[in-house]
Amino acid sequence: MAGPSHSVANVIWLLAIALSGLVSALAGSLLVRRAIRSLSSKRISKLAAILSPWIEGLLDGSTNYDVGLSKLREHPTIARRVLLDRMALVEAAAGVEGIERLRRLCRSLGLVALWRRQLSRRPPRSLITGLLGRRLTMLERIPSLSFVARAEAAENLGLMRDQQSWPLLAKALTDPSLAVRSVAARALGRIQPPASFPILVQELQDIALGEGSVSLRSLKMTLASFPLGYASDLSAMLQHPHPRVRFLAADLVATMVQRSGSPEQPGKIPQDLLLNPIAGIFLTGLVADPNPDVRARAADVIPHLDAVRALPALLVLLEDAEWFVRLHAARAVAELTSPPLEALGSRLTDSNWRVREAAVRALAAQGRRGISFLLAHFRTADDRYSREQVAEEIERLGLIPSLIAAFGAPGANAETEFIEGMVRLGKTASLRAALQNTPEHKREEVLAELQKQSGLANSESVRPPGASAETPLLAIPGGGRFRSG
Amino acid sequence: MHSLGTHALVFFDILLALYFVVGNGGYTILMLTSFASVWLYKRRHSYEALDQLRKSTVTPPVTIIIPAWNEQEIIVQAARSALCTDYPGIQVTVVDDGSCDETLKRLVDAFALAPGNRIVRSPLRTRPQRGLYVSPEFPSLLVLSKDNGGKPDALNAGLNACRTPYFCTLDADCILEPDAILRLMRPIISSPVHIAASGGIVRPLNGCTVVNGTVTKVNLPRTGVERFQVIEYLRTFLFGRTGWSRLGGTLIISGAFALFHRETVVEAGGFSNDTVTEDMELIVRLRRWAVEHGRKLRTAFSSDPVCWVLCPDTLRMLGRQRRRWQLGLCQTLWKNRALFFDPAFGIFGGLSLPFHGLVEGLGAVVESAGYMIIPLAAWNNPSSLTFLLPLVLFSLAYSALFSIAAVVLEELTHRRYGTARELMTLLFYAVTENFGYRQLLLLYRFTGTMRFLRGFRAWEKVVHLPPAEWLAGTAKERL
Repeated sequence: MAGPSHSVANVIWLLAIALSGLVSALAGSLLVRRAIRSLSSKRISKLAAILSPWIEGLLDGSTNYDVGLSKLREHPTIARRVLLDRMALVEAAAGVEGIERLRRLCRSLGLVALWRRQLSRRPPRSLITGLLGRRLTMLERIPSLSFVARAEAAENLGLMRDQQSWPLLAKALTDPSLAVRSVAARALGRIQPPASFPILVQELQDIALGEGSVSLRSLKMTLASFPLGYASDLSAMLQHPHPRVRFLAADLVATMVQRSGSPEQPGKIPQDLLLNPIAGIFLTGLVADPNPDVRARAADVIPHLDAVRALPALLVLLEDAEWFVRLHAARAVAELTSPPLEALGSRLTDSNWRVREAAVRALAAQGRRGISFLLAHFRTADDRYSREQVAEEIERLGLIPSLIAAFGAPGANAETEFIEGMVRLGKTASLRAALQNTPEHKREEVLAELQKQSGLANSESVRPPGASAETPLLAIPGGGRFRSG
Repeated sequence: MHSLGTHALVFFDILLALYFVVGNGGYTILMLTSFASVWLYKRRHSYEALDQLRKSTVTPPVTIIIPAWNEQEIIVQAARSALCTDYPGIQVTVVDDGSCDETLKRLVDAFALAPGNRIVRSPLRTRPQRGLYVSPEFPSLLVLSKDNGGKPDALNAGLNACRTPYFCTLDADCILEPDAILRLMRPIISSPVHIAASGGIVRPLNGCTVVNGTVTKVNLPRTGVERFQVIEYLRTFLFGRTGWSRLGGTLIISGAFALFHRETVVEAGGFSNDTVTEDMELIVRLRRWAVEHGRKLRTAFSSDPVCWVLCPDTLRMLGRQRRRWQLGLCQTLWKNRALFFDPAFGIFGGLSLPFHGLVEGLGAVVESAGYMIIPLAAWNNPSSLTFLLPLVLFSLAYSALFSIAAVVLEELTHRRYGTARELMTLLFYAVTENFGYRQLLLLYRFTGTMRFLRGFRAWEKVVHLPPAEWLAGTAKERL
């Protein structure tokens, strides 16, 4: 028995020693690597410092192109590296001229040709073929890693807005790697070649039908970056028999419209969208779509089409059976130039709180008209929930101090009754905070007036946080107590 | 009797060998997987357009929820860090879970908060709300005050107030890197499958320089206890979590810093008070809920979204933290024991849960018993030392290999600790943690397991005292 046991022990000893050796070797190699890396980065930094001004000069046009290029060709590898670092900066600056010069420089240094070559290569069929491949880089020889080079190439071509590369990028949408497909879609969004839009739309349709191969959000991000004029290419999708296809198309148009009005592209919503063939689809077809998700998305687009035809369509959607359609419709009505307040007011007593909230916010967004409407509603409504919603929105808008200032003034019945109503509802937190910053005589006046009201049967106290604890409290009939100041 | 004892020792030897083979075999696979995964992830940086994600109108808004209970020293810094996050449409909700100290007051003072009457609908039941505060100067900040109900309850309260499709949980003792949320969101945006939870890496904040709610200089901590934790966090996050994520067996996404899809979490019932590790419990429940409801969902883990967290700097606090983690692990595994080897749960049920149960849960007992029984076996049969001694050495060398591998991963990818001296320090601690620190952790884990067996359920609070320089200044000045 001793023999085998000793043999096993010896084997374990050997393994333990080998493992300890491996650990030491790993630690040692790590230190050596760090040292080499440090030296190498110093060398690169030194060369980069020499080349950077040349590259900067070439990119901003202050350096003679041929002279600068010949300088860069003295250290092509470093020049490429510095240039790649600069690409992100140029992208951030988004200067058209800067990108144009960058593209020219990349072409001159052979980078564009390299990236195109890399992107057009598909992974080798087997590991052995890959390893034997002579013209491939190390990354490309290993099938599972080769996508990295292709994705990087697609990204760089997109950053440079290389128009001529779009067919390659479109082809890359069918790449076996999800990463490459996603990056290619993004690159097409940057370059925005007109012919690629229908291809991307087809991809979106495939996703809707469960056959797509790119992330939906990535693709939507890409498609939404195209100008709104391209939306007409979505008309077939908007009329597709499958509801998910219609939904995604309507959702995309809504995002494009939203983006057109964003700070990135201010004032670019085309006023003649009515002439666009898709306007009719939205105003007549999608408003009555059997799928509520499609109707909800249509509501987001309709106010941007045509005020005359949009209102009747939105009024229909405001009465929709589904709460989220009414919600979108309420928000959409607020987008109209002069929305009918009564239509929005009808949603203040909606059975769903989200719709009530949307209606309140939509009214509040209309300025003085809307606020007056809300105060009037607050005064007359029996529905506690909608009154609470109005109170919250008024408070969120920071209007409490101005309402307190108007409290008790002639002709300010709505304001006065609103404050009293807030106390009745027990919503006194913001009143207390606002009263703290109110001049003392006004505070006295408000508190005294509130005290007089016999209907304020509320146990809450409107106690300005700064008030002294010794100050006597005034009793309010029904249990409410107010500090006299 | 003697024969019975010998048989028991032999049985235990076999059990120990099995534990050793399964545990180290599993970790070896995880290590190799994570090497490939982290390296590839790093390469992807060259084509992952973070800037485009930041500018896109399609990027969904996120609410950061910070639960806080008696965190007066660090809460303002945490809220400030969250507000500094570079993400379009970020909202921050701090939930004061009935603190007895000045947590709420300091927030009110620092951010000039005023009471608000906002209506909070409650799809999830929580303890009563005491108040709600908003800041005119920081409109994206909301502070909720509620009766004490524990961290899950506070998270649920924050979730009730959350109006964005995604939310991020953040512990009060954490500092986010500015682009951390963007990086957490990236896998969600690029995945063709619904990702319900996305996690990032948590790194020890101790020793780092923090200015304006941002880590400006990364340093190694000063004390040994903290430095050992640096190694531990590298090992846990860079190869443990990465490896399991790659294999599809993620059991935990650290609740200190995790992004979730709001609807999915609410539908699954929110955070639960059943265990003391609500993050792990939620991940398992989400998977369970998805299978039971026929939904497809995934979790993601990325190694570049970074959250810096204050680690325990004393053994007492470290013990509290680790006992709780172990207790939570055991509670979660026991609660979901029906999922073990259930084919419906794939790698998660077939591999991850049993592995965590055997190696992380039961392993604490087996390994602790090993430390007690090996000397006993040697005393009983001195000749067995020829077998046991190399086995112990082999085991220690294997552990050191994992720790060194974690440092290698860090060096190949992120290199947050920039100087050669720091690298040497890391390597030193990676080797020496196996002599004393590891055994100490084992003791804490063993105690945690014993507490589970005794039905212990209390949450042990870990108290952090941040450096004095953090405590000066108001939010307004610093933002």
